[in-house]
Amino acid sequence: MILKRNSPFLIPAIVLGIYMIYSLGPIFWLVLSSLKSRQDLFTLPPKLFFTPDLSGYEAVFGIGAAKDSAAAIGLVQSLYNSIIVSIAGTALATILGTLAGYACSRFRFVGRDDFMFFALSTRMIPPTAVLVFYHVMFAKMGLSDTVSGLIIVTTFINLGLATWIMKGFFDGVPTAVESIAKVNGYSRFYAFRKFVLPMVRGGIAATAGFCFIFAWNEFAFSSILSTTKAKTLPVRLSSAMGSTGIEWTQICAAGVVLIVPVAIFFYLIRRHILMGMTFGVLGKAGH
Amino acid sequence: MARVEIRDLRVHFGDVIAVDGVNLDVEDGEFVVFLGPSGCGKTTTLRCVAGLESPTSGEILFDGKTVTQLDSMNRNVAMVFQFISLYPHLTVRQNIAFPLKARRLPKAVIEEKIQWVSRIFDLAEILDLRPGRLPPGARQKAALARSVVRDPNVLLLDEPLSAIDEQFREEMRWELRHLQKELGVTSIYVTHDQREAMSLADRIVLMNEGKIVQVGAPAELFNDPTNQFSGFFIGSPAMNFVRARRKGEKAALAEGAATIALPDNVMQLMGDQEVLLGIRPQHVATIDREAEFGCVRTTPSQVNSVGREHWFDFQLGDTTIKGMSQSRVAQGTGEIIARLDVEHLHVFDLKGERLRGEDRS
Repeated sequence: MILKRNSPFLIPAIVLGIYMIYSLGPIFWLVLSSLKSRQDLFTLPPKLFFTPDLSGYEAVFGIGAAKDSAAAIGLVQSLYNSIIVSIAGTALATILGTLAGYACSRFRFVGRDDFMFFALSTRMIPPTAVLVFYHVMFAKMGLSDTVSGLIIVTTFINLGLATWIMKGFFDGVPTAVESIAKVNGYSRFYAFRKFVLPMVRGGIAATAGFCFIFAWNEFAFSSILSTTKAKTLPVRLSSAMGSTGIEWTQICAAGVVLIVPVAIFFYLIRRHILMGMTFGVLGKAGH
Repeated sequence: MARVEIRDLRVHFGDVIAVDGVNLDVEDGEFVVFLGPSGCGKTTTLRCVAGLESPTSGEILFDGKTVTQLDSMNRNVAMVFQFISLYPHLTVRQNIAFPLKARRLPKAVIEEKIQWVSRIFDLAEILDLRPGRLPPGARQKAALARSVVRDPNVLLLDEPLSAIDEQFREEMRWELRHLQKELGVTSIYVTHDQREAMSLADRIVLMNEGKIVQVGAPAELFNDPTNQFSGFFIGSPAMNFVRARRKGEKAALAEGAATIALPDNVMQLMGDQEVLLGIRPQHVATIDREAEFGCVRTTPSQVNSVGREHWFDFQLGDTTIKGMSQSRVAQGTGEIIARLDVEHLHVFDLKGERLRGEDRS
């Protein structure tokens, strides 16, 4: 390759190469498997070249021949649940996080620092520690196995982080923006809506991206709070059994479907990831 | 345009006392400058008048009516900020129209007012540009135009010229002063630059550590400081201070580094206690022959000529005294006679408070 034998980059290149195989290998394998027919999937040695078979994807999306097939493991409903829960949870967490982040950035109130710590701590709790209590709580409220119940949990999981990231972005907006509006005869809310919000557009997008990824991947709470109807795709996949055994092709196809939105969102917000994170931390240090 | 009264204003940020009991009346049409080092509470006081900060206690009155509880959007104040005053995504014209639109004035009236203000501030050429493309001077001019376009009760300026190059700053100051008088708008201006304060103000309000130190016309503060801080902060280079104590008929300076003959009134003020003598460098000169009072034989430790000003330093013990001579002082030529103009000698106690004779209270 372009690297000379005694280049100082040789060893790092080898290490990175191994790391790349480690991290991308399974994904490559997954994508290949999702396109294989049942027969090709179990051939040894594994085939690199084969005729693509889309039956797995057809089953996931509930279209084509697989729609009514006995082998279909009914992933459509869970895909649908995942989409609803993630989008609604993201929207709620982003809206509430934006408002809370603004308040924490701009207003001095008693216990602000404690509140910020509390908000962050909600992300530190190991979900398994509180799962049982959530289960009981949600069951009592009749929210078990409902999409709305999952939306509430998803919102809660993301709200702390959303608040932190948005506070960081608001800290980056000079307070003069509101002051100017106020001394010129406008309300703070007007300035917030007309000037401040457009200035943190990128931040809102980044926050939404983060929230969506976390919501989309969320497994622990969903697995305990949904039993049949409200199962999200990750939960459904973990227990995917068809009437003719484990449908690996469908599972792999669903796996790819799970990865794609994350990849897309990550790509879209890549520039904001570092900024969002450091702003959150620096914002804390600055006060 | 209004008369502004500040009554016993206090602002606490947690444990920090930013403003500590400020009382002040600003007359209608007056140009008052809040002057002080950073953290002295001048900007916080200004922001309280603007309604951007809520006081811990105390009152703000416009024309005798309290506005303390009013939101700044309802106070009809105008404010020009240090760095950004204009919205960068709006043109100068839209920026100027911004406060007028808040009052829902008809379009024709807004246009008329924009024309009026752009004539005064000479903005015709930049009306349709965005602030980002303008030099800082033009930006602040536009910000000023916006702030006066709607007859505010009071015009508040928070170091508006600090982002402008030295060269233009002088010009802007002159223009600002001129316009303020022409428009007759009550103005409060915040700065830490004493030269700026001296050239703009009808009255200077000198602040330190949240309190007002001295209020007066620029010349008053320059000639008659009430304490050491005031003497030190006003004037450039800063006032010289040297410890002094009576020693027989004369006074010993800097713990005996030199003795100096002083007139009776100064000696009386000193009494038997150790005091601080303050004198401005402009009042320390070199002379050829010893005079009756205020002369010290010394050797200059440093000389520096700036244009027609010939500055020289000399040491009295640990204290460096700066003076200004009419003629060039040659370094290393040995002894000179430095003369302190005793007419302009101020006596302070060791806490920094001015000691005054009974005849001039």
